Amino acid sequence: MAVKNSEVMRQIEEMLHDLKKQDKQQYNIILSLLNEVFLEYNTGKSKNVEKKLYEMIDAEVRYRTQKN
Amino acid sequence: MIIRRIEVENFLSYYGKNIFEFDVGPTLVIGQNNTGKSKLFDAFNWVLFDRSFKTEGEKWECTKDWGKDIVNNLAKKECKIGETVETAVSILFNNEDNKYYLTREFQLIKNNEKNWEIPRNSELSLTITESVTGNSNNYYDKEAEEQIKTLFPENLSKYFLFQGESISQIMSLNSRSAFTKALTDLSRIEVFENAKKYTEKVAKALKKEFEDKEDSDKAFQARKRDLSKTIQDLKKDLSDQNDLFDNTCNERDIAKIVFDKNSEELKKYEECALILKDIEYFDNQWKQKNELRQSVVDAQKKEIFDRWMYAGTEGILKNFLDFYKKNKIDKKIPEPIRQEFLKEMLEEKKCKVCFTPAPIGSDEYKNIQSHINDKSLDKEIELINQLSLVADNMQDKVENISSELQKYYARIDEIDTSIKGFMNKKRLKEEELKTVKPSDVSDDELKTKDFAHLQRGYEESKNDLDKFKLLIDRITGKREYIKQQLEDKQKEYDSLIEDSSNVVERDKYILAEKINKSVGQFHTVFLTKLINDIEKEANTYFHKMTEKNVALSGKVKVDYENQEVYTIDETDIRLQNINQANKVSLQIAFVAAILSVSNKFWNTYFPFIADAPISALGGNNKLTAVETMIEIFNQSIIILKDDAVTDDPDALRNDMIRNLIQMDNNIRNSFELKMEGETLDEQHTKIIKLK
Repeated sequence: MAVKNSEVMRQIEEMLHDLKKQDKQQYNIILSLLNEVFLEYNTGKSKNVEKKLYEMIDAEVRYRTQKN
Repeated sequence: MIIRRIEVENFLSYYGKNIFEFDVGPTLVIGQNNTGKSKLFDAFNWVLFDRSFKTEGEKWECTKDWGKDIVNNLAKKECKIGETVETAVSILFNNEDNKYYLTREFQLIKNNEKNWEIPRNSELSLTITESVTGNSNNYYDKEAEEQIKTLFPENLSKYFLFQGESISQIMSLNSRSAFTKALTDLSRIEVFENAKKYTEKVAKALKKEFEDKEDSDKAFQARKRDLSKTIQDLKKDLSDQNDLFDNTCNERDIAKIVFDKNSEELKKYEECALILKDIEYFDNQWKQKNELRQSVVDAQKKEIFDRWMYAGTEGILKNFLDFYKKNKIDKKIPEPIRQEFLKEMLEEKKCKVCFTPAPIGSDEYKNIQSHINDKSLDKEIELINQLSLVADNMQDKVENISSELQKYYARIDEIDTSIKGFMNKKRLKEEELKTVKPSDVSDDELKTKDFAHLQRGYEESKNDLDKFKLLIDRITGKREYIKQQLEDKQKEYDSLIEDSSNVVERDKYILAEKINKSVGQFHTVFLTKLINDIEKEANTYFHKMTEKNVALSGKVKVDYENQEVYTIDETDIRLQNINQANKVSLQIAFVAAILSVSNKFWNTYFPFIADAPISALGGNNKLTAVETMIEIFNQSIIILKDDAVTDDPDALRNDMIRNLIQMDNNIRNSFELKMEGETLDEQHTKIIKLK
C-alpha cells in the first residue's frame, strides 16, 4: 500500500508542497517518517520509528551547526 | 482487487459444485426467500473468515460450532456409509499483478445413518500465482490466513461484506464511537495518527533534554524553567479539559441514546395513547348512557305498568262518572245531613225533611235523635265523593296514556341513539388503533402501558441531554481560554530560548517541535480533506437514493467536531425527525462514501459484496439505492430479494429489478437463484444465469 501507492504519495506531496519550498530538510524528515509509519502499519511489525526520527533530527541539527 | 469466481460445493443449500463467475463492475444475484441468497453471502464469509450466519441463533458461527450442519443435506443423504462427503468453497481473485486461489474445505465421514465423524476442522489453502512469471506459492491454514488478513482485513469486513439488515449495528449516526470507528477503520487515518504520536513523543523528549541541560546564565535558566512549568501546567489543564470534554460527550451520547429511545417509545405509543384515551371516553359515555337508560326504565316502569293496568278502562270509568253525575243531579244520591240541622229538628220537634211532627219521646223524635253523632251518612257521601275523585284522576291518566308512552319511548330512543353512536365511535377508534399500533406490541401490553410514565421518562431524558449540552458549551469555553493562555506562554518561551547558550539542544527541540506541528497540521489537512471528500460523495449517493421521494430529504452534513452525520436544509439548519427510510439511506450513503474515498485514496478497491443491502429501505429508495450502489464500486456483488408476487408497496418489484438487469449495460453478470427438490432433505439451490 504505502510507498508504492502513487495516489497516497501524490496526496502527501500535494499537502506538503509548501513545506518542501520553505524547509527542504524538515520536508525530507517528514517524508521519511511517513514512509516508516506506512511500512510499520502494513507489516504490523515495529520499525523503531521513534528512534529513527530522533536520530534524523539529531543528525540534521549537528549538520547545520557544523555548517555554520 | 477483483473477485473472478466463487465455487460453492455442498455448502449449506448448495448441492454439488456451483460456480458463479464475476467481472469488474456490478453483478446482481436475485432470488425469492429461501433460495440460497444469504448462503452465497455466507460462502464468501466462510472461505475468508471461517464464519457463517446461523439464523436460529442470529449470530455468526465458525465451522467448529456448525459441525455437520454446514454440509448440504442432499450430499449427506447421498453419501454411502463409510464414505466421505466434502464441503468446499473457493474464490479466485486478482490483486495487483497476482492471482489468488483460496479454498476452505471441510469433511464428514458417514459412520451410519445417524452418526457422522468429523476427522478435522476446516482447512484453508491459498495459491498465489504471479501473472508475469507464472510462479506459484502455496500457503496453508495459519500462513494462508495471514496472507488473506492483509488483503481482506477482518475489522473492515463488515463494510465490504455488507449485511443490509445489520446497518444500524455498524453505523449509528449520532454515536461518536460508531462515527469514529467507521472513519478510523475505513480511512486508515491511524497511519497519520501514529506519525503524530511519534513526533509528539520525540518533541517531548528533546524538550526535556534541552530543559535538563543547565544554561550558563542562572537567571535565564530559572526563567526558562518557570515558563516551562507554566506551559506544562497549562497543557495538563488543557488535557484534563479535553478528557472532560470527551467524557462529557460520551455521557451526552449515552443520554442521547436514552433520549432517542424514550422519544421513539413515546412517539410509538403517543398516537396509541390518544386513541386509547378516546376509546376510554367513548366507552365511559356508552356505559353512562346505558345506566341512564336503565334508570329511565326503572323510574317509569311502575307508572307505565299502572297506566297499562288502567288501559281499556276509559268506558267503565265514563259510565261510572256519568251514572254518578246523573244520580247526583236527580238527587238520588243523598246530600249529607248536617248535625246542626238534626239539632234544629229536635229543638223544633219536627222532621224538617218530611215535615212530620216529632214530639219528645215520640218514635219520630227518637228516629231523629238516632242520627245525632251518626257519621255513617257522612262517610257514605265522603266515599262516594272520593270514588268520584279517583275516577276523575283515573280518567285523566287513562286519557294521557298514549302521549306519556310516546314521551317515554322518545326518551328511550334518544338514549339508544346515543348508545349506538358511542358504540360506533368506539369501534372506529379500535380499528384506527389497529393501524397505528406497533406490530411488535400485543393488545395486552398496550393496555398495561403506563403512558404517563413514558412521558415522564421522555421529559427526564430530555433534561439530562440539555444538561450535558450546557456542560459541553462550558467546557468548550474553558478550553478556548486555556488554549489562548498556552499560546501566549509558548510565544514567550520561544522568544526567551533564542538567547540560550545550549544551541544544539535548543535547535533539536525547535526542529522537533516544528516537525510535530507540521505533522499535526498535515493530520488536520488530511482529515479535513477526507471529511470534505466523504461529505461530497455521501451527498451524491444520498441525493441519488432519495431523489424520487416527493418530500425533500436535505443535504448530508458530516460533522467531525461533534462526530455525527445528519441532514441539513438549504440554510444549513439541522433537519429534525428524519424518517426511517432516509435515515437508512443516510447510513448507507455515509458508509459507501467512506469506503469509496478510502478505496480511491489507498488504491485498494475492495469488492463490495452486499446481502439484502436495501432491506431496511422504503419503496421509493430501494431501486435508486441499488442503482447508486452499482455505480459507486469498482466491483460489486449485490444479492437482492426478488419480491415476485407482492402487494407490498414498499417491495422492490420483480419487473423493476429484472428491467434494471437487462437495461443497465454496466451489469455484466446476473444470476437468479431458485430452490429445487421435493422434500426438505432434497431441496437445494439452483443457479440460473440471467446475463
